[in-house]
Formats: sequence, structure tokens, C-alpha cells
Amino acid sequence: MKTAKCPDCDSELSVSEEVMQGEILSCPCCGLELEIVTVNGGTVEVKELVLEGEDWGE
Amino acid sequence: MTDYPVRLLTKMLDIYSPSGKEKEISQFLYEEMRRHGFKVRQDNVGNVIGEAGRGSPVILLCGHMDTVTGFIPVRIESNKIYGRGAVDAKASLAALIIAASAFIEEKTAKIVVASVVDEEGASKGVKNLLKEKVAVDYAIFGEPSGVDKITIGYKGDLRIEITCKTIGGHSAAHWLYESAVEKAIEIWNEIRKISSSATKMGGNSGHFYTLDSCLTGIRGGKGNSTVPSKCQIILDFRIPPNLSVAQVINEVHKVIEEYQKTNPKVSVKVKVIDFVEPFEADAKSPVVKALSRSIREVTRRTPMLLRKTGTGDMNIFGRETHVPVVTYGPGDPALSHTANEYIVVREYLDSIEIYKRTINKLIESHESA
Repeated sequence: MKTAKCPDCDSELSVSEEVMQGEILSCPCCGLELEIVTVNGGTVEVKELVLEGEDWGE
Repeated sequence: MTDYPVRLLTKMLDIYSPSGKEKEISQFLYEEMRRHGFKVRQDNVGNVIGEAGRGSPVILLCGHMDTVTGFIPVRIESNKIYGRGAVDAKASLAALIIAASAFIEEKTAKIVVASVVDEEGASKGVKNLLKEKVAVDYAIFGEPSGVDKITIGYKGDLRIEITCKTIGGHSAAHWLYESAVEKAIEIWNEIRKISSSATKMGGNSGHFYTLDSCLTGIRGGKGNSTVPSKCQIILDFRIPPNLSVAQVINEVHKVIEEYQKTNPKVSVKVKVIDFVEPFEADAKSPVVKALSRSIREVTRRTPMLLRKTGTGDMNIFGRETHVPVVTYGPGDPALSHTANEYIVVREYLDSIEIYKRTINKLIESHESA
């Protein structure tokens, strides 16, 4: 298994060997949704998942 | 627990308050906030400002009391509250007031609720807040983004009037004259090309990062046997954050100068009617973070950060103060300004909880910083 650190609660996460950049997972401790940013050997960098969009109004 | 929020909002919707006619609702909100224990005052443009708690940080919650015109009879049906301003933006303002009322006794933060006038007009209300130099650490503007969405950017807006004058005459001999209406349309066709070149400069896709322009008005000619000698067109530019109002005006003047080289007899004058600069908030600011977490906790959904092609009071406030700022509020923005404006009660109630949690998180993060 690879490992990653939750940017919110600092928990260490176990991540599948087959993990790919852009995949989404949840921190088992705080529930924060995370996006895989980079996979480098056994270390995986994650960031808080942010959805972005466009709208109009006001 | 849900009775009071619904009663407050329906009362606010019952008071018709188009821009310029906010007196009755301002008196109502003044009394309502005073009853909750806010320290309330009214400024010289009619904004009602209530303060809860004391100390630092100072968190501004700003919502507007005015609506567009057209009263909609208030009714509750299938857990939806119908009425003018239900979405834009009395549900947000009511939710901000109720959320802030939980902090009346707060000793480690001051929550300032500004119920402002004229957001749908010339933004007199927010401009007066800036004039008064209300010092704040964070600001949240209450406008409909949707309960799980946060607005972090608005385009700018520039409205100009172009007046074309020519020598007109009898249309039976139109080849002897120049039609000001035709010339104005030729100029518009040249000006609209600015949009495509500016978009290439910006390098981003999507409407938010595009300079859009629209011909919104044209006046000229009487439809009789006369080649018209005067025509006025109104153009509306929506400006992305990588451009400024001044740059767009400059481009318009360049186009007109070029046009007049081949049309020396056409007189062209440009008048700026109104403008608002574009604004994009820091998506990583403490206020976005606190709001995102609160949305996740209450709705169990991943929040979406929105960039809007319209404009809001956040443009003016955010550019001037540079404090972390965001726009958030319940309601489907597509219902704004329509005859079918309604707010889903559940969404409205959730937004109250989200505002409360956001304030708490900002206080906590400010203390630990």
C-alpha cells in the first residue's frame, strides 16, 4: 500500500497501489474528500477536493 | 425551531422593497435586530447596521434589502416560499440575521450585519459602507449561490452609449447621405471584434474569462422618408478579471479612431454610463475554507466554487478593502428576477446553520492564527 497525509486532520491514509492522479478518496478520520495530486513511488500527495464551475446572476 | 425563520422571511417578502423604496423594510429590520439584542443604527443612505458581540475578529455579513420591481404574492407551497426577493436576496439576508443573532453575547468576535440598500441599482448601500470605512477582518455577502456552492468571482460590467451623427436627407436619394443607424451598426460590428481578440489574450476558456459584449439598446430614425442623422447605441461589456474597465474603454476608442479613418464625416461620441470592475476572491482564504467545511458538514456534499458572469456588491467591497471575502447564500440563482421566485425551506434553514458554523470556524481559526 502507498501512504498519504490528510491536509486537514493530518491522519496517515493507506492508498491502493493502483491509485492514479485525479482519483477521489475520503479521509477515513475526518471524512474530507481528497483528490490525488501526484503519485511518487510509495508517497501520494493529496489535496482537498474542490469543484469549480460557472454561473451567472446578481 | 423552524417557525421563526419562516415567519421572518415571509414578513420580509410581504414588505415590497424595490430599490429606492427600502424605508418600510429598513424600519422592520431595525426593530427586528434591536429585539434580538443587536446594537443597531441606520446610516445616511438607509443601510441598517446591527452589531452582535464584541472584540476581534470583526466579521461583516452583508445582504441587500432591495429587490427588483414586481411584487409576487407571498405563499408557502410544497415546502417552498414564494415571493419577490425569496432568492435575490431576502432569504440570504434573513439567514444572516438569524445566524448572527446567535453571537449577541460573543466576547471574542464582533459580527456586523449590514442590511444595505440599492444593490439592484447603483450599489449606494455598499459604497456608503466603504465611505464609512467599516473596518472588518472577513466579509460574507449574502446572495444566492445555492446552498452547496460558493461564489468567489464576478466579472466586471461596463455600459457605454455611443452617439453617431451624420448628414441625413431624403431617403429617395439615400446615396447622397449617410445613415447614422447604419453607421452605428457598422461601429458595433467592429467593436464586438474586441471580445474575440481579448479572449485570445486571456488564454482561458469559459464565459468567465471572456470579454463579452452585447448591444442592449438602439435609438435612431423615425421610419419615415428620411435618412437618419442621429443614432445612439448602448453596449454592455462583461469584463473578465484579467482586464480592467480602462483597458476596455481604451480598446473601444482605438476601434472608433480606426473606423473614422475611412468614415471621416461620421461624428462618434462615447459616453460611459456606468461601470464595475471585475473581482476574483482568493479561493484559499480562511473564509472560503470555513464556508467549505461548514457546507460539507451540513449538506454532506462537496462544495463547488463558482465564478459568475454577473456582478455583485462583492466586486466593489473586495477590490477596495482586500479583506478575505466571499459571496454565499441559499436559492437557485436562475430564479432571480423571475415571476416564479421561490426558496426551498430546507435550503434556507440549512444556510442558517452553515452561516453559524462558518462564523464559529472563523473565530476559532482567528484565535489560533
